[in-house]
Amino acid sequence: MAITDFKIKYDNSILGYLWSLLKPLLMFGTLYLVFSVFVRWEVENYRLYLLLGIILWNFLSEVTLNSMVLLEGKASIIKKIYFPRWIIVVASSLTSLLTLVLNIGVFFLFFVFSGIHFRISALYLAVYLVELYIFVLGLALFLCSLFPRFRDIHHIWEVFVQLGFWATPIIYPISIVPVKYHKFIFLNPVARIIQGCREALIGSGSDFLGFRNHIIILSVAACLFVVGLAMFNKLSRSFAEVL
Amino acid sequence: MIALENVTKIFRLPHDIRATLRQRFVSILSKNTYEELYALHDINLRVNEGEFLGIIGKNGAGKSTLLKLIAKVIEPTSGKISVGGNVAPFLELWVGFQGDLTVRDNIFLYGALLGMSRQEIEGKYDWIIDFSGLERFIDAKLKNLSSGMQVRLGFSITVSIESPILLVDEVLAVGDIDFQQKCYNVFENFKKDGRTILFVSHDLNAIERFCDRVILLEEGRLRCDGKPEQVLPMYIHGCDQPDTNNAASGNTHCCGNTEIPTDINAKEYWDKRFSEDWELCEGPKQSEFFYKLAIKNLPRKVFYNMKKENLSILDWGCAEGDGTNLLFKKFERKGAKVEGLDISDIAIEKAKRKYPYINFRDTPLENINDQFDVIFTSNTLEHFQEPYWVLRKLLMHTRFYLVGLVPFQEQNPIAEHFYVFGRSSFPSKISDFALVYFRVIDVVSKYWYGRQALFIYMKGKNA
Repeated sequence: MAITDFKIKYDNSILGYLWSLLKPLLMFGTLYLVFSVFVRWEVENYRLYLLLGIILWNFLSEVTLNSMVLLEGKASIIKKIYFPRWIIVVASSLTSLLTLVLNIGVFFLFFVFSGIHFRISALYLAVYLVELYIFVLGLALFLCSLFPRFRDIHHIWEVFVQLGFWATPIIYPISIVPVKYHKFIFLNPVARIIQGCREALIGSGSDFLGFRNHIIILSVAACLFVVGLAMFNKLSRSFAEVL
Repeated sequence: MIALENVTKIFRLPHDIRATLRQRFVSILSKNTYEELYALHDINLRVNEGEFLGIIGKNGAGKSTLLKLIAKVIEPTSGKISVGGNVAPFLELWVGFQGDLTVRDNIFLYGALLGMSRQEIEGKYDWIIDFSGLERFIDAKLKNLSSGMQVRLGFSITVSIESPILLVDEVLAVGDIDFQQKCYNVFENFKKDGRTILFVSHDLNAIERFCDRVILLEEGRLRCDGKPEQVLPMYIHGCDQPDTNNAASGNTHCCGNTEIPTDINAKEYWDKRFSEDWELCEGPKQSEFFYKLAIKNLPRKVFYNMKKENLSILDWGCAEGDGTNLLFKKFERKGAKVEGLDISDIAIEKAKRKYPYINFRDTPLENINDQFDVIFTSNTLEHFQEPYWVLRKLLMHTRFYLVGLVPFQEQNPIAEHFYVFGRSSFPSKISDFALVYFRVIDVVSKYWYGRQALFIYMKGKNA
């Protein structure tokens, strides 16, 4: 289902699969232009810093928003055939995961060209990605369980994604935020994940590779996942009627 | 095997749907009103392995809802459904298809949706293509195929699944003659393999040809259940046999085989019925059913009053005493006395044999001087042409309560029923008795389909 979805999505457009790569890159290009030419942050390897942040955040927004769209799009099937409803959410997340992997590939191209040495801590990236996936999947399940009864959640969530984008140190370095606000920013596990990934790969930032960080991220992600799954299981039973 | 127990499905049809925040906000003050639609009403059904069950009924009778419940697409509002084995649903197809993908891709997608693994589909692939007859179009986009071709593809994929249960919802009409023939061959093979098929169709010829058993749904209720040759005429002729005894016993014209005399209450007529076909018609069980229904629906106060000491209860029109026995069990406490009376001495003979501890008489009421605290009568009054006068007569022998159960607003009365009760059949006052309780009960059972009215007259009370 993930593969067919991917196929359908890009089959009709001329550039095809390239779009899934181009979208974050274009966004990166725009933001890079603005924040490295017009505004200048004091960040080492700002290009990589920014690209990584955008790619990861993009994954979150894509999975959560697309899973709701997909749920609506598949309403006709849901009404006729029984299959475990979570397949839809997982399929949507796998499509986005595919995009994420491709994007990370592009990121490594930039990485190689920027001449930074590959460090062993870069392997942490995989751990962070797993954590991110669990978190995002839980979030998507949670949102999708509410969506059929409460369609606004799609619009509301769009706004939240925008807000989150700016409330997370994606384009700006964490150092420009007054220290007293740090704890609020890092309530968001995605912020921790992004910072951790940067630290692992580029070596900027501080103390996000610690054990404690993983514990926090994993516990939040796991909680959300469990709650999301439970709600989804309960509410998805009536999807065939309310969609 | 598929078993449904008391399954009810209610759809809520809101008068306005509030799916968005604005709508909720705007109408937050007004109550969200909705109508309840009983898509299915208290369905009990058991389908055995290897049965080919046809489901017929008018549009909106609940046929598709029934299949959807079995396919687990929706959940019942109440009741229990158990399904043994995998279900291959073939409800309106092409819904699972993606018009933008090729036929080949769609086979894999649809197969996956139906729960097949990739290897399984690959194994079936050639068969599916061959069966659907779409060899030439494998790489065509599905949206460019005709709707008939899409149905053929969907059906081919569905029947390729080796699930023990197949649900087919009116779809074959779309295919051409050759394809329909193919489908019917497949059905024949399924039958041979002992798979269970539930088949919804308006094509009565197909139903008659394939189904071992047919159920007729009507407004969400299971109207009847039996062999095609019994059920199909009921559907075609608009169900002119409201008494569903026939479906249960497989005996289509069960009641009233004996020629009915104009004077229905001729003793000879009833003697003949009780000696000939009463048991065959499940008369005893039907009696018990009605008595239980009446007792269950008695107002609490009356129910407790009837348990009083030394109370005398007469069961008028007691037939073979099966209902009287129920009354006996319920109310024979602290010396209350329950008696049964019927004009047929054959029935009374049988009753005495069955329930020797109860007093039965075969004397007509006119010849008795006794009065009874409570007279109970179930499904007897309708056999009279002028039940009002019978009521008066009964009340003359009643001290407190007259409790009666009768068919109500019977649409197609059975031949034995000489009177159809309506609301106006029950005056609020008869001599010094007042109608204190009146209730119409919807009954769906193999013993009765339709309405029954329970009424109680009580002495000396103003209505």
